[in-house]
Amino acid sequence: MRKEVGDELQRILPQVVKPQRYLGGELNSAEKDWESVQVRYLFAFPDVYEVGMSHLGLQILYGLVNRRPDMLMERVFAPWTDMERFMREARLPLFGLESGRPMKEYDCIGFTLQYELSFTNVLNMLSLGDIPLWADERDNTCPLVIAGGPCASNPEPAAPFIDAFVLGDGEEVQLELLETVAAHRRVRNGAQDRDALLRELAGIPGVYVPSFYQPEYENGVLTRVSRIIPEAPARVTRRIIPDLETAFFPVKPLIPYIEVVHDRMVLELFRGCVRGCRFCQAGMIYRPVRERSLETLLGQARDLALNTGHHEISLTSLSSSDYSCIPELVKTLVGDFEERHIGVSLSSLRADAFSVHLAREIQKIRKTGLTFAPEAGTQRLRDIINKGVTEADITQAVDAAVQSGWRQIKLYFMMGLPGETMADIEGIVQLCEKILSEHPKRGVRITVSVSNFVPKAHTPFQWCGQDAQANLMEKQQFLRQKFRGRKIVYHYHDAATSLLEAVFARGDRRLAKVLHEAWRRGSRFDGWTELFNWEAWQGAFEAFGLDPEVLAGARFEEDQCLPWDHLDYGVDKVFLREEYRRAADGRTTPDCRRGECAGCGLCGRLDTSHVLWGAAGS
Amino acid sequence: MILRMKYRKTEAGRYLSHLDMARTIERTFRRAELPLVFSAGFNPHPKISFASALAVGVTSDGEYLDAELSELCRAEGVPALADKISRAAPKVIELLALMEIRKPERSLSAVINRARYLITLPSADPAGLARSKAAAAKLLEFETLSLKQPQGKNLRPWLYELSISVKDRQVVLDMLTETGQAGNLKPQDVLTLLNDECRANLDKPWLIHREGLYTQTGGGLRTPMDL
Repeated sequence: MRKEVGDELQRILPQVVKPQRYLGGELNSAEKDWESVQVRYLFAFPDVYEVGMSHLGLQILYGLVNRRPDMLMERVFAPWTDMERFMREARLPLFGLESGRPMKEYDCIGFTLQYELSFTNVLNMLSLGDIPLWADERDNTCPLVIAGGPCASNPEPAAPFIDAFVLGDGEEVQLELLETVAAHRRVRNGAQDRDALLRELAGIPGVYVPSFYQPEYENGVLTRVSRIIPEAPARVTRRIIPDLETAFFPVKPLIPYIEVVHDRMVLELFRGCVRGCRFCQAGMIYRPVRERSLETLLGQARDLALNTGHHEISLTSLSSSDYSCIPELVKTLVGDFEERHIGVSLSSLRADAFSVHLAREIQKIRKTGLTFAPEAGTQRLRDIINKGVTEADITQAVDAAVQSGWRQIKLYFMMGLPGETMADIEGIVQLCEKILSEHPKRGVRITVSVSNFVPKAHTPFQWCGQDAQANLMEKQQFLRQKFRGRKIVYHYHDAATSLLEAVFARGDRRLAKVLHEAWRRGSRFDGWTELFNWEAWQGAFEAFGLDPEVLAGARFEEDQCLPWDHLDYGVDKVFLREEYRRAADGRTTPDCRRGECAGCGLCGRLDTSHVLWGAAGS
Repeated sequence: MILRMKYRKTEAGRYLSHLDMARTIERTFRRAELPLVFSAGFNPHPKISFASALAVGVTSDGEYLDAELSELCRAEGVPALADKISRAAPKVIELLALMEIRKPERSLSAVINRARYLITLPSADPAGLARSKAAAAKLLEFETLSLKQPQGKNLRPWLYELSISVKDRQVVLDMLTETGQAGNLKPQDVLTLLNDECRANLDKPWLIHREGLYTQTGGGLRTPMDL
């Protein structure tokens, strides 16, 4: 770390909470020679260290870039409000953890957009890094600012702040982009010609340079987003790693000293999910299913245990019990790790008896709670959202769980789903009561968590507006009344937060000025309840005469231009529209992994297919 | 077998809490593939016991722990085990000494009763140095000292030594205090008393370093490695 930064930190750090957030130096961190590399990349996570360090994508890119002798990647996280205050007072610019260099000295800054509510932190970090917020105000001395992650699938509200977005799997395109930046600077003796560089980047498949696309409006309605230079593709197609077997995986990850949100080893079983839940963006934008083989995963698990010293390994994916070799994987890992007291945990379990049997294998080592997500309270609504889980699945799962000794069951639902009526909300209560009445003597306790549906881009429900705030609050209160005094703990989400998510999830470029204004009025860490500043947001919307409820509630017409139509995630818009219609009719669409093709169009258009290794799975 | 380890908490680890260090050490041992022995029960944890917790913001050249390992690794020999630990340790920890001990009658934390601290102040102007020295001499003359007036706990008996010197053009306070089960005098409290009771006006930040942990016996101070 640079001496001047180090001296300033020595003065500041005793006065802030969790100083280690700002120090780096973890095992497996890369401290590379600044002068001997061709390109210097700063990965920026727009949330605190503990959240960012739990993100697998960061660990993948960190290992991938730093194993290249010609590149370096460092990290920066959003400083907490106390640290921000001290940094601004001391005029200490935001710096990379590894070298302590100010953000401005890197060639490229890369933000990951994991959730809409971190957008104001992106602006705040640029501001703390002394980098102009608006892309068109940056000159040739400024680093290139890029962004990726799930929110890049509709990046329009953030587009005026970002030079280029990276769509889809990052493993290949990240390196191609950095190689392009390196080559660009090499032929210019280290200098940068922004316009020329952006043109070069626009030629890389999967790279979206928003300043080369012009939105057009008629009577305030978006009608077209068209390219303004011929080098830019008419539509930008997301990148896919077709085979995860050969893809890089970080078996020597960074190991934080302080406790982070997920303090454990992570094994990525597969990418993609084709269960086809109609509300789920991940289920659309990460297709097809690409599994890693059992041998590869077991090898990675062994290496991780040796290299990290963690005492827990988490098997992650969008629906872990769907992994086709899951019984063998769980059995082998539990056997291998039992003696060393390394626990195995499974995320995203489907609500069925098969999943509970898996969970029972794991429970031998460490007891964890069981969580299922029926998502909706009635079969009618579960069919509308294509959840593919029946009431029998749920009750059998709970039976199996109770038989195996679990007493605490967590159930996740959503409210405000398309086609929902009060009967469906009552259905949540009835389902819980049914479970309790079937196990009267076992002391089963249920925790119900109900979130608010947020319509997302590239899903069959992308045309739907969000349920009105008043409706959501009424439903929340209804459930509160019903669950009062029962053996049921009830949690719900703040409606205003979900409103903001909906505004940005389906918003267009005109929202950038609102985002900027909210940041100017003090909005930061919008995903943190204690810092969520609704007044700042209301003021920002009012300043431009906009009503967030109108924006979030707006229904798009089927033939209307959507703000993300020029971004191609592989799934046909025609398929999404068909799914939307089937939803309205309550018709379900089966999983295409082993059965009939549902016709989403992805495999043919992007020349890819499912990669499955075994015969089992939930 | 039980190993007693002496280690350093380096400058890089200054802001780690005791829990952070405990987690870091467990992971280091696991990476070193030491066959840890686990406690029985619902939530087994490795049998590692620490001499004393070290606060956030404090570095140390003399921390100690006892770790129980399976007899299987006795054949490897202590030097080989030490080598494994050193190679697996991140830069916040440095192994200083390792030895095998017989099962102790009393836990490490029960036998420790003294700690020596060195506190470095930002600068050493002559006036400040003279003021600090006078303040230290005055503090030692008090028969009772307490933080909460008028009826706080008397801390004076727990302050055994206090001296001030200049090293590398910085003022360094050297103090020996009571620590452990009988009582605990924190170095910050001594500094606060110097400021409040003796107008020492010590500049911040105070860089606190624990020089070592000891047991006061009839024959003087002994480290856990000499017991």
